[in-house]
Amino acid sequence: MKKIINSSKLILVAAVLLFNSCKKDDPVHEHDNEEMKTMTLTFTEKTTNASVVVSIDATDKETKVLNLKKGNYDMNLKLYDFDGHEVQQEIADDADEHQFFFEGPIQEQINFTYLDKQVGLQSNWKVLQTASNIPMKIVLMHGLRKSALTAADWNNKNYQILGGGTPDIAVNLTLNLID
Amino acid sequence: MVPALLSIGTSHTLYAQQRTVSGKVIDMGNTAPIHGANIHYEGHRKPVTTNFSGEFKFNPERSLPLKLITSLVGYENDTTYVKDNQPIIIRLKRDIKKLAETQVYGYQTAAKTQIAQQVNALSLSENRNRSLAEVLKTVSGVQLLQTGSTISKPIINGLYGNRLAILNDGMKLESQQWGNDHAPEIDVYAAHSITVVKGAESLRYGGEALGGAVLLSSKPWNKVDSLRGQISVNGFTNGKGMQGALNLEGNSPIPGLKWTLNGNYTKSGNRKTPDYYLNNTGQRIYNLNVAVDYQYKNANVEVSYKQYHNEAGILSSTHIGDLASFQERIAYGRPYPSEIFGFSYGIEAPRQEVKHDVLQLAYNQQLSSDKTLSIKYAFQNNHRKEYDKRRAGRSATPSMDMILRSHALDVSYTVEGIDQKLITGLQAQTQVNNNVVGTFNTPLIPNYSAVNIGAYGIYQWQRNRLAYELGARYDFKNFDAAGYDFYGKPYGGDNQFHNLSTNLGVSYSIDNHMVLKSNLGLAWRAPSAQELYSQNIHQSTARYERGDASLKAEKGLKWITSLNIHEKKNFLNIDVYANFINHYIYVNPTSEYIQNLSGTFPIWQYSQNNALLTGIDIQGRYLIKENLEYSANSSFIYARNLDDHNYLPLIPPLSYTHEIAYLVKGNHNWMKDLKFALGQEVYAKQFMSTASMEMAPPPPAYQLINGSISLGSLLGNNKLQTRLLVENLLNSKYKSYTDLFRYYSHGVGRNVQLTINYTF
Repeated sequence: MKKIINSSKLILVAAVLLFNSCKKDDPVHEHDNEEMKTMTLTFTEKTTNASVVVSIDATDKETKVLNLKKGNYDMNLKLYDFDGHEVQQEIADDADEHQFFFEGPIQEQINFTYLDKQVGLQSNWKVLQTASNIPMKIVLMHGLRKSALTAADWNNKNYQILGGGTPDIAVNLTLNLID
Repeated sequence: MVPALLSIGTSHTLYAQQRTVSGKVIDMGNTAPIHGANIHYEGHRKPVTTNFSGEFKFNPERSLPLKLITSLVGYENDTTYVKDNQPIIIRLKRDIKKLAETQVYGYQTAAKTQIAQQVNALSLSENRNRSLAEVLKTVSGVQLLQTGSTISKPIINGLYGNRLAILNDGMKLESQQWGNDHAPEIDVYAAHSITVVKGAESLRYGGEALGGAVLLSSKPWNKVDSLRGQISVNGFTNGKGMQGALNLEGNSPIPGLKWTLNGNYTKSGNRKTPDYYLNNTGQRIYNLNVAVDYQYKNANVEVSYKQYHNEAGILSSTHIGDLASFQERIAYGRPYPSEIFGFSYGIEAPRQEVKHDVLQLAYNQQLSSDKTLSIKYAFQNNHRKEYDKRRAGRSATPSMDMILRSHALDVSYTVEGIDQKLITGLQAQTQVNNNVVGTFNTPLIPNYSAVNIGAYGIYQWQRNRLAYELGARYDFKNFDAAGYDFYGKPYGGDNQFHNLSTNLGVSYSIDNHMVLKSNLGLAWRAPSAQELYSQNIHQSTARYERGDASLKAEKGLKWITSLNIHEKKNFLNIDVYANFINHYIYVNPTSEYIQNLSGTFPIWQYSQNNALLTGIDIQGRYLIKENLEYSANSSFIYARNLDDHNYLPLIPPLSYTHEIAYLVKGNHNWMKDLKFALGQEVYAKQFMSTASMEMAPPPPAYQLINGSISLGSLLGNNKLQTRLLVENLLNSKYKSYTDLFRYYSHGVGRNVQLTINYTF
């Protein structure tokens, strides 16, 4: 009986220790730096200085439309996280493993040139032909083997087969090339 | 300590001139006959086994006198000299340490109703370098849930993860088993024996033993009697892997104080399919296990510490992105050429790193000849970090960093009579899971604290050939969770779950070679944090998984019946089961989609329905000739969602694994035993699948051929075991239905492995 009493005390002490050590920490909201909320493309016509801006947001319910008249545009792309901070510099800093692709339009319609280290944050678009309702997919690939790709692959839909990697961005919009 | 008893069966006569020895083995404490005791005489290793009446009889090849050695788990070995032709009675004395060993299992040897299969000792010694799931694969009814070539967890009778309890030296492994890609943190090198229990085992092991239990046990202390050890080295070609392990054990100058020490290290690089390397599939594992035992009079105290550390790369081509990319990938079915880089030992993001520490204390006290008290305490610290490819140098910062700390207390009190036994127990456990701040990523699951309290009673009794078991258990679980979602909105809550589990088991010894067992058990499992609160995109499956905070606990009723027929080395084991699970939780596709800048993702919702899993497992071995044996095992499962009339996903298909082995006994020290084995694994296509529940159609059937040569040698008095194994001998290309990476790649190709074990 004495053994049982001693053992009971031991169990009681252990149980008290056990239950006093079991409170979770208060949670903290992690600001998700990886996810991007908004992508803004600003096209500036080089001769008229007129701008066309299209902004695509994570909360969009419908596919955005981009109307570009025939002309010569420099395109500047900005990315924002969910706190509203610009994050495109992170892409520029890791230029050796990031590249934008613009799947949809063909070379006869647009003469495209990367104006940065083949990333696509800055690019030149010469609109050569008119065309309506071109489904365009803008993809930012991360961790791809850029040596397997050239600037001519800007609209190559086999970008992943060629270079691998993971998409950071994959959004659709409708492109109209107009007179 | 219970006294030993040796008595002579009066009805059995020993005639020296006919060289027939017979008798009876009984328990010294309660004089009950002991079934299953092994008896052999000195100079002859082949034992005879007592029948259900404790009787034995054999014809020795030598003349009298003989030195008889009797052994049984839970009892001290007995040595008896047979000098004349008098019949004998052997009284076995219970061993407090062996008793502790059997209590690890939650039952003692007299509890014959539990349906369990132990991993063959030879198979365990030959496969210690593998993961727990791969070792268990040799047991019928156990298959693998794989996440690529390096991460696997066991599936028992169709259930896995949180529906299985894994007990290491009697205490449940507490880790992040809710993730399909989270392998159990178990070091097989530290296990002396591994048993798979197939019944619903909530009664002894609480919730999460709905599908059964895996019991790992360290070497019993009574077998540690001097300084001994084992050195193992292992090399394998697929992944250019290398592994080393050291086991040491011994006594100390202090009487009753013993120790064991084990450490091992594994390094491997990229695995290869028949056609291509799998990029970023290297692995590093290092483990340390230390234990000390002190035995004084009728008590023993054991302190042990185990550390498991695993760092594994994740196939880089599995991080896909949106649904369109995923569908393209499924159509391609293998990594793109740009993702195949050749061999490397390097591990980069995506990768996972897990460290699991266990500190365990056990105290066993023999209070009197029929009463035993056992107290166990375990502290477990599970730290899981997962790294993804991220921008701005954040790949070095884990995107998931969680620490799960558990305390568990297990008290059991056993009273044993002549033919009956009562086991009562109390189990209490607390768990705290915290996400480490600073990942810059929304945690996959919230912070939570959980308290589990369970009390049980099990009554066993035996009448001649019949043994019965009846038990009941009450469990209470409080689960308190809190977190912030992606948008900073708080979620969580306090949930309580109660459950009453019961179990009824019967065992009937038809004769000395046939045993029929049947078990009917009610079991349960509370939903996990992921099932309740998940709201994340899973990059590898391009889907958004949404939890449901209103999920109820799963309740299962499992009936399993097992017939075991054994005759010398031959045996046949057939298990038939049906497991009805009320509120079975699974992730179900919806017609909704979520869209963000990363793409469009279908929403899969955690749901629950009634489900039925039923099946049959067959395992056997047949000695064709004295040196030629054939062994086989096969499993079939039928698993159905009874409400939606769908098949359950991730249920292993029909499988048949068999091997023919040729054994040679040698007379030279360099060759004492030689074994050639040729085996085949056949896996059918999973025809019983529902298209809407699958991300891709089940792959076709496939077969793998394996071959091995094992050589047992003596170096002085020490044993040297060498084994050359070739897996997937024909370098076949295949995909396994239960491999979660089958969408992205094939299974691994040919692997040649050399293992050398030196025991001293």
